This record gives sequence, structure tokens and C-alpha cells, in this order.
Amino acid sequence: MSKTTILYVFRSSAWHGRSAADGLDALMASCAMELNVSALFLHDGVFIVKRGQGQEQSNTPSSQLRGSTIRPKLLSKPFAALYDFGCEHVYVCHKSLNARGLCTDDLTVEHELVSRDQIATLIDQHDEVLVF
Amino acid sequence: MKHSSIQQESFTILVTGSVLGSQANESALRFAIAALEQGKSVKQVFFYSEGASVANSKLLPLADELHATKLWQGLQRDYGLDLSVCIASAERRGVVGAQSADDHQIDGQNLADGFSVVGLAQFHNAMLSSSHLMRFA
Repeated sequence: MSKTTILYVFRSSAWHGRSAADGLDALMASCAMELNVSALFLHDGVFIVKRGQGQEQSNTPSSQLRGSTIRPKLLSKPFAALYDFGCEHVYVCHKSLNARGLCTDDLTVEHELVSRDQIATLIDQHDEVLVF
Repeated sequence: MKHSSIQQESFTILVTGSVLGSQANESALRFAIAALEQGKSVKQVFFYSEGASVANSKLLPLADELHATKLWQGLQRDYGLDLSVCIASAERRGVVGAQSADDHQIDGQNLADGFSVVGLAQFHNAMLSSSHLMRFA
């Protein structure tokens, strides 16, 4: 029996709730089970893999609370290492990227740009599609 | 062909929407009831991300509001439905089982009866053994 194929679709930015973080956890679990895993970044999801996030680890007073630095957990690093986890394909919606003024060089992870028609094909080709 | 080796129609239900902030539980409950009443197999209902909020035994909706926790518990009693909650999602939202309460020295558990805390591997096992995955967000 061939391996089950799973497409993880990320539609929200890393700062919009916990969708991206929870999707990443599920994706890593799928990779650990050696399933055939792909990721697609769509709509605001393209911001998850944008370069330059978290560079301003500021030490301004507003980022300090009772002596501790308020430092949100950054998702850009684990998402940049998707292939290392075992993710086999990374797709990015071309239209979503353009609509946000971004280009392929702005992203941290090697990817294949796909059109809306190709996304429809991807969804059809995978056994399971999980949207986060 | 999806899961060609799985002969019988069976479902895994994934709930990711919060108990109050979305219609996820109402829709998932309607789907589960319809499936079970038609004799279909529901392998697991997995509550992930915001979905874990429904497993809090101390939720007290008003009398004329949907009490999703109680409705899920009813299905669990009537059909032996597997109600599994992602342990990480649950603990982030203050839903703790007896073991977690003990481990973290928290006074009392609040995991609703009938629900069990599991890891993502159990969800994958259910998903892979079902012909259909239904997600309610």
C-alpha cells in the first residue's frame, strides 16, 4: 500500500491566533509517522515564511515586564526547516504572494509557486487535506 | 484513490473551532448524530487547537444555549464514541486531566467525563484507518 499523502494548508499568518503553530505541530507529527507530507501557503499564510521576522528582539522598556523580556515564540525558524522535518513538497500560492507585495526571494523556505488551478489539482491529488 | 484498502465507510471527525467562538461543535454534533443514526462508523472525534475548549467540565452555558460538552458525553454513552482531546491543546487552555493535574501539582482536574487526552499519533491512527476525515473549524 502506498503511503498516505497529506496536504497541510496554512491560510493565516503566524500572529493570527494559534492556527499556524498548531498546524506545524500536526505536520511534524505526520512527518514523524513517515507519511507523505506537503505544505501549501495560501492567503495570509505566506507571511509565515517571510524573511526578516523576529529580527527586532528589542530591549526597549515596553518589551520588559517585571524584568523578563516579552519575546513571542517565533515560528519562522521551524517553518524554514520544513524539509528537515521530512516535508517533501512546499508550495506557495503565486497570487497570494503577489497580492501582498512579496516575491519568491522574500521567503525563507525553498518552494514551488503554484496557480489557483494547480492548487485545485493538489487538493484533488492528496488523500487528506488539513487546513490551518 | 483515497484509502483504497478501507472497505467500510468510516469517519474521523476533527474539531478545531472553539466551543463558544465558532459553530464547529454544533455542526460536528449534527454530523456525528446523523452518521451514527445511519449506522456509520465514527472512529474518533478529535478535538484539536481551540477545539479542546469543549472538554472543560466547568463550562456552564445558560439553559437555552447549546451545551456541546453534555451532548458529546451523551453520544459517548449511547454509542461508545471515542472523544479524544489533544493533550497539548487542552493543557494550553487550562483543561487538565487527573494525570496532568498530578504532574503539575494543580488542585483538581477539569477534564469532562467521557473525554480522554491523547497525542497527535492517536489522531493519525484514527485518520489513517477511516475512509473520510471531516473537519469542523
